Amino acid sequence: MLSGVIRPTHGKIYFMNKDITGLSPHKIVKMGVTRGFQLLCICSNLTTLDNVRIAILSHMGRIGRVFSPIDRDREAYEKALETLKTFGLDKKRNLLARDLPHGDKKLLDVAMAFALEPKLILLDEPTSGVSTSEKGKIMGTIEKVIREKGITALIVEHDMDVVFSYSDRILVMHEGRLIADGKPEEIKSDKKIESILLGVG
Amino acid sequence: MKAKIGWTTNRLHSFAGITISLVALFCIPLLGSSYYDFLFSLALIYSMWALGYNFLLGYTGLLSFGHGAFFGLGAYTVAILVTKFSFKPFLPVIGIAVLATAFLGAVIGYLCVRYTEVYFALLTLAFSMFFYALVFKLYYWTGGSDGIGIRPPDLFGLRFSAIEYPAHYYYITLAFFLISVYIGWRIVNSPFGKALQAIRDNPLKAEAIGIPVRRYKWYAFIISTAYSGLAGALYAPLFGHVVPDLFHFLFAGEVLFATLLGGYTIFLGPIVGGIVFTVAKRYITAVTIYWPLVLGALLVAVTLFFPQGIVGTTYSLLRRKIGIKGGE
Repeated sequence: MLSGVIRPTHGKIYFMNKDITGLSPHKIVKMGVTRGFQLLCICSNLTTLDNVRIAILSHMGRIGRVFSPIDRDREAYEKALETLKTFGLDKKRNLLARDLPHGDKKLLDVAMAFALEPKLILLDEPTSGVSTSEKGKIMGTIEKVIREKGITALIVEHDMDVVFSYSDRILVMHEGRLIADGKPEEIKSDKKIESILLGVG
Repeated sequence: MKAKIGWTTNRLHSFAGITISLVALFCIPLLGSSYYDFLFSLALIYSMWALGYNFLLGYTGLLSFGHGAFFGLGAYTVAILVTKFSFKPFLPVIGIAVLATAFLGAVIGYLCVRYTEVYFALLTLAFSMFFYALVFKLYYWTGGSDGIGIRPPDLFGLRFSAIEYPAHYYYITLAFFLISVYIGWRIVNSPFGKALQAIRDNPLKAEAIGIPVRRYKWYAFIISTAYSGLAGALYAPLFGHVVPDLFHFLFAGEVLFATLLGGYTIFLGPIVGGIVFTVAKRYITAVTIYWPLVLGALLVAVTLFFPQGIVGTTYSLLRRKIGIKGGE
């Protein structure tokens, strides 16, 4: 709903004091809000490089160029390579995205959202379907990048290790309502939340 | 380092392949058979048609059954201009036909790209059958089921005819073919072309990285109809006669089949598919009256065993054998 895929039935969505309710997804991207997906969402028959490069060209407003070869745009290429390096994917740039290991696919999904230089990034379970050992690597990379670039990330996650290790502020939702809002330590020490999380009465 | 050497040989192979094909295409009229000139003119026309069609099928992932109608629109525009308006200069006639087809393509495409998958396919089918019925009924303009016989248009003041000078017409077709392939190649390798492929792979993601999905599908539709219009426009003077069957979805099936036969996953696929399809159809029809049966069997075989088509399968084999890298 925030990213514009589903229109809200009522209520308004504001981003940086601008009403973005009901805007189409690609327009919301232009406002500086991008998203990663819970289920893998990459272009599997394009190379890793092209996946990131189209996101960058889209952000640079050059995606509509019909007649100039994509390879001749050195600036877009350098930027794409830089993004890939940040996410440790540069060595795999010529692989088709479908041939990447699962963890790298997740990173690529997030890398494409970052390539759009957002102010706010929405991530839906960035570590879903990833082994516990790889979770740290993925979250570490994401944390490093957003802190370096000063991007706000809104992450939906139910893996409590991930939530408590990487958050600045936690909002807890239960049965569709917000039940808590605070720093990780406050949330951790709250007995009521603990009992809901653990499913005790 | 090793990768770089591979890339260079890859370039070399492509260069050699392109040179050989070009020489072969230029040499066809030297065989001195007016039948070959005619047949390969038609083959190149099918190639252009399939190349444009693949912008939708292979690059954007949209299946259309309506591209016979756009082929027909190109052909009928030429026929009507030449016979009803006696407007004969060749290049402007072709130009008007392409523009008129692309314009109608824009109108119809605008309505069709709002839908996806089977609904899109059915809408294109419905529109083509609508035009088919219309061409039947507008007897004054279209000659109804008789179609229109065309006197040849002029080129640079010269009266030229595909029947009297088939070799000349072949070279004109070849020129249009080469330009079409070049433009097509530039488009698929542009950022816009990659955006189309992103839409094919994952429309949700394409939208999420800021690509206006519906608008780009519409552009792809317009480009492909312009190609169909060009193919139809070149077809009309070659045959000297146009009929409403061009608008029928069965005729649109031919471009779909040619594209699948050559391979829709690769740029060269529909180009080769168009040529192979035309030649195969001529020779198989000469041998047996059961051409549709052979066609059906071939289609089943390609779909089940060689989904990448002739070119795609060849590329995969070559890549395995001598390590040539295939690209889109």
